[in-house]
Amino acid sequence: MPIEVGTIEPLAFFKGLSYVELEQFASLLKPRSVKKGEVLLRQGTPAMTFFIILSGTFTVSLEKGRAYTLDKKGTVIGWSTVIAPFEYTGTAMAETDGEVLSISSNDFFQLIQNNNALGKKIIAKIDKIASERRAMSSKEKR
Amino acid sequence: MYGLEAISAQNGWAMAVAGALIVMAGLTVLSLVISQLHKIAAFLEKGAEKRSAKRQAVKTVPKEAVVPKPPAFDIEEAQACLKPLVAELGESFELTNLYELANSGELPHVHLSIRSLRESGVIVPAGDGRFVWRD
Amino acid sequence: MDLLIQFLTNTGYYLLDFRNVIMLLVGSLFLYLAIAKEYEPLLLLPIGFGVLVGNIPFFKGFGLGIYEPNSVLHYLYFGVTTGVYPSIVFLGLGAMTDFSSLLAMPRLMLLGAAAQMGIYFTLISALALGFLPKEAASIAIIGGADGPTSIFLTAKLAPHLIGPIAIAAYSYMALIPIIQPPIMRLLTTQKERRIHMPDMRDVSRTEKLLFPAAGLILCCFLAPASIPLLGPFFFGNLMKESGVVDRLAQTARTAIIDTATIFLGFTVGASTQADVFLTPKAVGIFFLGAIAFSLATASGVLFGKIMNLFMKQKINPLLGAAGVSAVPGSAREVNMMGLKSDPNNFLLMPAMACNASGVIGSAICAGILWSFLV
Repeated sequence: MPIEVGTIEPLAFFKGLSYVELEQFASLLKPRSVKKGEVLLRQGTPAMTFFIILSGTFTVSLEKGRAYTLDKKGTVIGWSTVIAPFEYTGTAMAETDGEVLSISSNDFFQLIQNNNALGKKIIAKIDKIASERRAMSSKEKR
Repeated sequence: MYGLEAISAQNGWAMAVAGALIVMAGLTVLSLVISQLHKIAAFLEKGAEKRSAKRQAVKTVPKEAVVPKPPAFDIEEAQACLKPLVAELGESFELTNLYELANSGELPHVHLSIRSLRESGVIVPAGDGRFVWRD
Repeated sequence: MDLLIQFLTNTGYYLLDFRNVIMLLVGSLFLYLAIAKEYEPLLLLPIGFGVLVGNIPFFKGFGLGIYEPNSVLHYLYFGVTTGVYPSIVFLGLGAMTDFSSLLAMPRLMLLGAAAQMGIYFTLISALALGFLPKEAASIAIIGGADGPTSIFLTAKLAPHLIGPIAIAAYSYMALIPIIQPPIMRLLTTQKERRIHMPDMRDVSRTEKLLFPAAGLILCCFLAPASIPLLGPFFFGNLMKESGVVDRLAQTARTAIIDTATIFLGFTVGASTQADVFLTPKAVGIFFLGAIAFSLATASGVLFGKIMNLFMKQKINPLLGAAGVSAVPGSAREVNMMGLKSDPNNFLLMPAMACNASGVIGSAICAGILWSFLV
């Protein structure tokens, strides 16, 4: 079933996109129900899809036993699909039943091919988030 | 026949060199032309703007003679009223969307406000028919 | 009893040849790559299944095979041999490509041209290996990394080679993540890979509207033989950018291109009948195809470096690898390599520009080679 623009419009990741751009994005997003205990993505595997949380709680386990929980609507899991190292850096598992939206890297690149202005906006967002992630991980290392 | 002999016999060198030069020259010319497209586009857009302004002037002149001057208008007030609406529409927006939003919020002098902000450079074109807000 | 024996001798089990087994394994490999590894699934899945269909042994003369007149597969294959499917694919491709990045940075178009040099190096190599000129040109176009263009030119010049050339072209496109990165790493320094590209300016709608007309006139006046590809391509793009026929543009970039891709992939796969496909020539084609692809990547990267010798504002030479027209696979690889060198070095948008230029470049090359050899 296609995703309504209204579903994604309030999510932080989509802020600043025009209605047409939201429509283009929505046409490629696939909803997926996740059962408690289901593994969404596994550390070390090639990152081919990223997910946007609609509901539910997810635990992301990293190296050395570190882990964090994500439950905020609109949070993106699987950034490595579009940033280095291009393989998942953690394992995401559903703590509760939930729902996510997914988009494959192929569809994502097709979207950018179709609309370069949208590509620019998304890359600016990704760049910002990637910088924050790097800052966070270097803080953790220290 | 094989090797260099085959290449020469089949006119291979000439085909390769000519083919490479043609595609290189063709795309170089295309890149030069598209590097100037923005100038042609600006020229065409200017012409279109002038024509539409002229048309508007022709249409509005007789009206201006009979229509009373709009009520006192404060551009800063207009800016304050429209800014939150622009924030709702995102970084770039279409004027029609802003107009509809402002109208639905029952703001006064919507047309006049948007036009004044356009003229004063607060609302500027971002290309592609969309606009951005510059404080 | 005779009837039963006759039936049994007509079954695929009885007629099976080891070459069919090899091809069935190749088809299965394509399906595995498409489904399990998600390598170019839109291409490899139809082709892979087509290979299975084309290599089921059958009694010749029943009007079943793709090469038998009046068979259903033969009619479907008509779109390949006449070049109809590639033209339709180009229509859809035009309707889905945004040229803003290229319009914002036109000099990147030169990288798309440079990457086509692989085609001409391969042309010479193929001639040296004893291929006839028309065969050599069809093999060389694999270097353009554009499946429909390769099929189009081969259909015009060497139709007997469509199967191996199409399979080689699509295989190498699927193998971009394996072929391109080592070449890019080998030919660039870490410092070069870290070069950031400037932000692209916004492009007006008028510019986007002017581009298809300018592109069509300049490219097709130069190489009229590329009209069957570039005509629909720029038409599709004009539909997209005009904004007045959204429904048509949407259909072109979804239903129409998808339909053509399905039949193109399936029938090209089915054309790999073992007795036609498994020949010494096919081995040569695969070997030269790999060379063509690698040389195309290398020439794009090297040209990027050469441009840097003369230009004030340096460009990232990795972008040259995106000059091959494998959209968006090569742009993605370039972006990945840029990000691996510097986590803030997003090269995706300029790489998309080079990709778009590569599509135009390889279609022009096909037109040039066709004109040379008809």
